[in-house]
Amino acid sequence: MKRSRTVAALLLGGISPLLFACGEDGPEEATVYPSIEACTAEKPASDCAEAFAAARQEHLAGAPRFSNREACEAEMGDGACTPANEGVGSGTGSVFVPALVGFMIGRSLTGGYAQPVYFDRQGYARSGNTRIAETPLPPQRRDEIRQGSGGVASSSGSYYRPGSANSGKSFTVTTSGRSAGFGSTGSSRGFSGS
Amino acid sequence: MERVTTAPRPQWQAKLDEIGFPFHTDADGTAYWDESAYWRFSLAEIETLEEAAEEVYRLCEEAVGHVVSRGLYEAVGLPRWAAPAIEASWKEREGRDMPLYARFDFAWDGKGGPPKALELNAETPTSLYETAVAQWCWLQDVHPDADQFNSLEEALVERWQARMQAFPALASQAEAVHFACLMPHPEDEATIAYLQTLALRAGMTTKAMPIQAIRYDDSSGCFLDDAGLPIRHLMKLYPWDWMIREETGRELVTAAAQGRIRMIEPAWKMVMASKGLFALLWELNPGHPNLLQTALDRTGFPAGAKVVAKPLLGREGSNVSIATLDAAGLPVGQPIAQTEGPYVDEGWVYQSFTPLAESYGNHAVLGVWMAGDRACGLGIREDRALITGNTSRFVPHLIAPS
Repeated sequence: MKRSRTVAALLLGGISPLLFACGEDGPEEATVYPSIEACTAEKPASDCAEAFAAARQEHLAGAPRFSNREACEAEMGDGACTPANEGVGSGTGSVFVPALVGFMIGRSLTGGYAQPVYFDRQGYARSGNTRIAETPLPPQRRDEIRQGSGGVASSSGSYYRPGSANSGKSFTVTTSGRSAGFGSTGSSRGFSGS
Repeated sequence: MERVTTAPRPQWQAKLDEIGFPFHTDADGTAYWDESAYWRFSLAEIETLEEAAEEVYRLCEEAVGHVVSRGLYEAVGLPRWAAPAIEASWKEREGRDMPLYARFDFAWDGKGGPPKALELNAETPTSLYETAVAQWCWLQDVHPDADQFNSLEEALVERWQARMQAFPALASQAEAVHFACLMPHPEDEATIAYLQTLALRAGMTTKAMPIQAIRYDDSSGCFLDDAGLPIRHLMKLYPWDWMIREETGRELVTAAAQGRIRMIEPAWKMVMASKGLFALLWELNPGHPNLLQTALDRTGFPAGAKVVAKPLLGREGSNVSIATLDAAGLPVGQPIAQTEGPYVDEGWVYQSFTPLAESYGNHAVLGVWMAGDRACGLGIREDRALITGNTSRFVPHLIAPS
């Protein structure tokens, strides 16, 4: 066979989307619903609930884990974390995970797949099953601070998030150095590759 | 190979929107993605293309080595002061300055002679997502039992994994790969996001940013991202030969030469991306069956030859003209075809004209994708005109079951 077994479609939801492998449309069809409401508009509610539970399970199994909320938020952004074991046991030994930001959604020869994606507060994206806390990036420099607006919105097909990825609050950037000045030639020529 | 006309999928636009490819229709309402036809190949034809691409790629690598070892930078339209970055990266081309991808344009109709390489887009090849994903999904929807010359996605994930092997800090996620392009620019941002997706799948930490937001710190000699963190690995969807002429271009040459920043593509790719390389290819391999006579001056062609003139550092089919030359190398009468554009300053390369595959007035150029030195995919662009440009339609293909 001379083709890939899977391809990754560019769908990254601002809120947890759901990959729904539709039985009646054949195993090659997959539809993404941005919410359980959107799903139930077209599918039986029980199917939607089941599929959302499966997606959430995948998220919880693969999300980076932190021992407390402070450690999680320090890496992932203010208000970006939730306890991973809510509703399980008595709540002792809480583990915090970043709220799911999106899925990489793909198609395979036999159906679809979804892999969770997370952003930290500096806009770095990591896929699920990565243990962020064990291998932190260099600490953020705080020598020069200016205000900016974070944003939760993410459009299909773009991972670029100005400022903090998943916090609605202000974020910290440095203004070290000077502008490198890249992009001026292309801006004047309307560049789009060759 | 044969062009087959067919009915597009019902709601084909919605299907493309759904997989994150909203660029299927041009601003003037004409289709850029055109599934009213496809090209059907036999496996033997695909293997012929694959072998031709890997063979010519090998010759291109040899030609880059020839330029680097002899310092022939002027011949490929590059300034000598870029040499430190080119030479340092060329030494590490098997490891830390490995290439990611490239796309050949081949002219071939499957009959008669062998495929002829027209050029190699070695730095910022376009139509990646169309090739790797959109036509894959089309095949899966329409002809799931057929095959396609398209392991591009898998091959690129493997390239990212190879890069992680070369850099333990990437494997441990202590370092990240930054992905930059001009922003706002929806098409380029989508391409960058796709490349980033593949790097994420390989297990890397990544960050996308506008190329305009990159900063330079004079005290450390490092380039910084928009959070002020150093950029150690930069995948840029933007040509080297522009970057080096922009404000901190010389600083970039120095930082790359000293390994403070690893560029994707590496600096040696700017030699491979020059159209002038094909003149050198012909000089080093005259008469090679997969090459066309190509030269930096037009006096060497026989009288009456049909010749294509292209800018040395041109892109998107701009400023290309096709004309018949007289014995002195001067064009006879009006050009047979020509395109406008901004690339008029940096010299020209002349190549013997060869016809593209043609069906009912549709001229098809065969884009063969390379991941490293391996051919791994095919994307076809069609145009009613003789010169393929950035509005030429993308037409899917399949390999007929044998």
